[in-house]
Amino acid sequence: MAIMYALKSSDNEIFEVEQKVIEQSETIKKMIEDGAATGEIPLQVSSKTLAKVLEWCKQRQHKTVENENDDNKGKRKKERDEDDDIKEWENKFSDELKADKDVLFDLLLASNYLDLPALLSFLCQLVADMVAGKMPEEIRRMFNIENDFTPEEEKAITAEHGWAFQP
Amino acid sequence: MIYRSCCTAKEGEVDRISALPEPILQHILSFLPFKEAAHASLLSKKWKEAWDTLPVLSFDESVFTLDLWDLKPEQSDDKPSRVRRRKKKLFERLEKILEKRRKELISIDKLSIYIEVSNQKEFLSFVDRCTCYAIESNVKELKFEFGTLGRIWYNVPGSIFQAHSIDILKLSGCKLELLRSNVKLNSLRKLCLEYVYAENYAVENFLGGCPSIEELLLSSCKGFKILELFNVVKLNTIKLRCSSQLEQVEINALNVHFIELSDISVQCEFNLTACKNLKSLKLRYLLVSDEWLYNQVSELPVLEYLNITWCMKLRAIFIASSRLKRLSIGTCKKLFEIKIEAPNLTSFKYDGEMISFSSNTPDTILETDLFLDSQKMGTRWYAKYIELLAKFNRSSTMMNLRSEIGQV
Repeated sequence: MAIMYALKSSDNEIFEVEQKVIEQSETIKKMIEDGAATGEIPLQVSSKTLAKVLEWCKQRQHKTVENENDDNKGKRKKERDEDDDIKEWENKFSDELKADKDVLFDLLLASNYLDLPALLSFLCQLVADMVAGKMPEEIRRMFNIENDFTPEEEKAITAEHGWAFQP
Repeated sequence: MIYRSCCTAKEGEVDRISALPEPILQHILSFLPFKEAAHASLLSKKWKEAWDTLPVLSFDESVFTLDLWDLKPEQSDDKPSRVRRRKKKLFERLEKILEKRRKELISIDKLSIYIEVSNQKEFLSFVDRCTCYAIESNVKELKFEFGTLGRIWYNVPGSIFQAHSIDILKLSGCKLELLRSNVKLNSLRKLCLEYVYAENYAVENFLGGCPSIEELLLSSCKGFKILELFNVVKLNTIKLRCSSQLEQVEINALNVHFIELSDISVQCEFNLTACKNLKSLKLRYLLVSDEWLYNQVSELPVLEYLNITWCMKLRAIFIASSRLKRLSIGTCKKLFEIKIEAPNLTSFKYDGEMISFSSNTPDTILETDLFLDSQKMGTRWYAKYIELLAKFNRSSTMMNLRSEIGQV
């Protein structure tokens, strides 16, 4: 029987999760090792975000270390199909996050707090892909970033960094 | 002023991205190409600060001139000089950024530079200066990749080999000429050399100056014919790939637990028997003999994992190992017989033609994964197949069987 742990979200919802799934989080792993997790493990993450985090962790769990080391060449059709399934799942996951940026940012903060490096990298790459190839004005509009430079400051920065736009 | 914001953020909508902790913003920036990451510094003060102290800098010169390559000769008759001018500007920029970092004592964790060397000797002095600034900013990870299209090998500046801060060093397309006294990489833990030209003495001197090295990867390297690894007490992982010139590999490293040998010339002789703590051995595209395999494996007392693929000289192999737990053999086309004496073997994977298999203790094998390929699947083939399955059937709780004609 797999060992189960109960995680409690910040809005008091309980999630029953297998140890193998949740130990991907260094933060929770440490809590378990320190013996702080005798009953429910309280987390500063909302139930909506935690559900998403666990969705990711469950998917990741199937990726074994051995698979990551091997290159594609020696792989059989079945294994390649599994890779395709993971890709497809990741694409769906990314599309949902792109559509709801609030969930994306909640997830970014949660992956940082729970110390899930793979999820954090995945999300940062996702944001980078969203930003890539766009002009500052477009990026500002996309994320509601306020331009807080004074005109003088902006002039100086453009002089310093404007090279990046010159053909 | 073209970049001046025409409007501020919409009422009621919050800027959540800028509220992220700076390390996360920098993590995002690290996934952007150099130029695009620089764009971000124009967004707001918070983003400018994140870029100015970004600890990871990655510079790939080829992406800056991609658009120019599409120009047809009639559209631009001065294409080469335009490319050169633009590259020069970009290198000047990189140099200024690194110079500023050094002056303001902002440390750099990782610097990677990719540059096409062919016909651009003039840019190499930029690379040399950038390297010096990065070293003075205590860079921990350095990665240099030089295109070797023009067959010019970049001569690495000597200061790299004296940099105490470097923890990880990756060089590609370079030439190494080193004296023993010139190498003092006391913190270096991981070294990757790809498409590097170094003669025997240079490799020896290099490794002699890396007392803390834990991981070594040599791939597609040229020049040296002998690789002898002695006195490398901390070394735990060795990967040797694609070498057509190696003639002798002698590894005497007591703490090595992982070795991969892949695609190395026919005439090369390997001796791993001094690696008494080796746990994992991976052999790919290697023309080793049945005897060699038997002798090496028998001398490795704690070997637990053995993976053999595409070794076309193996025919009838005998593996005797007291601790071996997992054995995986794939696509060794000449192989027809496997004999095993491994009391602790729990997992056996095989992928290839029909074989005859015998083991003195098949009862311990809990997991079997067989994938049999064959052009001729006649009655005799099936008889052998059934015989083979019977051998595993007693013990295996998990058995995956596949063949080219589908699931069995």
